[in-house]
Amino acid sequence: MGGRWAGPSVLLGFSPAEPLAGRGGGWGEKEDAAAPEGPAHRPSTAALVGLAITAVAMVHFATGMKTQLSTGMTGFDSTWYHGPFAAGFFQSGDLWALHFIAPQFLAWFYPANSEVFHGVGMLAFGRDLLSPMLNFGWFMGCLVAVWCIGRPYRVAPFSLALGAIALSLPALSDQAGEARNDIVGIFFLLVAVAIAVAQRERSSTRQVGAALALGPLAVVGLSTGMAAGTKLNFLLPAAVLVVGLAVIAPKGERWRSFGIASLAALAGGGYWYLRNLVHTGNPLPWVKDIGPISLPAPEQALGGREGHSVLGYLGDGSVWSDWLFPGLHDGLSALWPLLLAVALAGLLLSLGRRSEPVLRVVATAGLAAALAWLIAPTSASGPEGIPRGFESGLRYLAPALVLGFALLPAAPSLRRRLARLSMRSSFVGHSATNDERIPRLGRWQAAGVLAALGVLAIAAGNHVQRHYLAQRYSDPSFTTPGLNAAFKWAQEISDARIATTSTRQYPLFGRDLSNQVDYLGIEQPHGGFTAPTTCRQWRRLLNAGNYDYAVTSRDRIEPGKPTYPATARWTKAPGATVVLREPPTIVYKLRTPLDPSGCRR
Amino acid sequence: MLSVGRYLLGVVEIGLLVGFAWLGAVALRRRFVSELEGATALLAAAVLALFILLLTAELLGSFGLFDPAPYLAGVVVVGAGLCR
Repeated sequence: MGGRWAGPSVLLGFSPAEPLAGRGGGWGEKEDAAAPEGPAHRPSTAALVGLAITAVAMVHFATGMKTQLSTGMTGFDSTWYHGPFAAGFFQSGDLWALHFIAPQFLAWFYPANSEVFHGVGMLAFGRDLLSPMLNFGWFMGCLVAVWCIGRPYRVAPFSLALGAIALSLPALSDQAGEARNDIVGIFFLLVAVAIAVAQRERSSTRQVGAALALGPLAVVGLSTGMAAGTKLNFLLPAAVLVVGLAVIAPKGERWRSFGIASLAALAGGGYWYLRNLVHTGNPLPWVKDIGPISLPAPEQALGGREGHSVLGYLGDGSVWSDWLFPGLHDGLSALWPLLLAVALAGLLLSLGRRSEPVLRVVATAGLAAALAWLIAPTSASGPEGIPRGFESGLRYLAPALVLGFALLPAAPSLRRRLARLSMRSSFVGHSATNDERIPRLGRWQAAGVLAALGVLAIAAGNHVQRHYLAQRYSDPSFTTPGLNAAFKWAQEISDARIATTSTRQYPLFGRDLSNQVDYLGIEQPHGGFTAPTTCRQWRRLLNAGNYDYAVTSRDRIEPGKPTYPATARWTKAPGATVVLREPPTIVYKLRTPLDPSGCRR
Repeated sequence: MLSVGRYLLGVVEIGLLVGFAWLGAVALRRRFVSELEGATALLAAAVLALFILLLTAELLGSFGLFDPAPYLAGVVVVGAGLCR
């Protein structure tokens, strides 16, 4: 370092200026993996275009985040289970217990890695201040990962640009500012792929992948396991990656490779499946039997939308014209045929004969991600022939799309041409010395810049927290009038015990997350949980929970159905006072226990 | 909204959590994944740091101890321990 401080590179382990400096990114003189990198060039046109596209994608995502910082997280899944799980971890300190919520899709068994990170933010601030911003961090991580996927093949700017486009598709637009966890799983999957392909840089042959070193193999396993511990649809690609890397290992090392990768994957994501196994006797309680073998699982309907997979509708012309084509148009944009073709080409070309084994494995994992979407019972949920959930379910296809986009430039038939293109289009043809490449600051200058940036970030953060916590659910308009009013009311309530029948429940935790909110239900064998069906059951549950308030509500107003739920009627008693009434919601203040014998027959 | 003091306390807590997890992760990466370089090394360290945060939370959370003080202490101990 010649007496000069290398700045953050010491801590980061790499230079943050790498993408701009062009080191190994896509303008190397030789395509050969073993070629020494040599001196770096000034950024090429391709790199600058890639970075420009990335900058637009970042601004696009940040804009969505900014909106949620003025409203609170309003997405259905954020308010149904992501937020309540995180707040439940924060309040109880307990990750092992099942945190029961509205009985739909047995959601309390979902893996919850991403909710733990929300919980960490809540522990630090006592509020969910960081939650709307976390997904921006995962998004940035995805961008670094797609860069790294192209890097060993000297096509990083192309992988970055295509990855940024795929990450900005409408199907993923609801990740910004929300607690949705698709982007989290995609991040961990992309990192696993980036590390798996990285060995190409240090190998002297094209047949790399045959001996992934044990350290990187463990990190690949860990990352892919963390993806599977985030969301169920990453289980299949994670398994393919772990098994695939073992298959391409040298003959004597296959079992060792499999053992290391699978143990690391279990460490990264096994916790939630182990929890399910202990609570129900089945790590995947949605699977009730394997052939003739019955597995322990809750005996209850899944609830929510009727489950259907895209696979089941593949041959149904009317569903295609009425739902699937319009869904693809809205979820992936008008260019959806092109986008699907690009992603498919990226995966299939990477599977070709000329590809390295490791590239074939990661492409297979991408196809597995697509298959997971195709067969998922929520990918085309809704009544038979009316897959209302198709468009929303396209986010389960997103991992395959992003991976296909990022891999396309690395495909053997394209990479050489693209690498040459980026070299030809260099702004500056001559090689730059290291000293020319990255302007370096003196020790004190660098420390001063970092300190100033830190102070600025902290000061800006204080402004953000004041704005966010003042605005959070202060004027909600994302659901029914009654729930909007209840959510606004709850912001001023602290340290209360609230029972609810609303599937969306996160805003009821209050501004300071001090309200204990329970979807009122009855625990069943094998981790089951069902809503009470009688007034007596309802009142007994209310009394047992010693609740201060009951938020009785339907999830939506439906013509031909009663305005208020039966629970509103069941709560009406001398000890309960109405504090809010707005269709389809009535909020009661509970002053005394409700007499179960007072229920009308 | 949070008072400035409470906000700064949160910033310090996050700084300590991320800082110690990162130190532990960089030590792990240098020991076991030294062949990675550049941005890929950063990603490996990031995953290891996230794993330290996650694993500590899971271990404590299994006993109902996912609370600020034990969690901070746990991450500091793990991060510092890996650095040695």
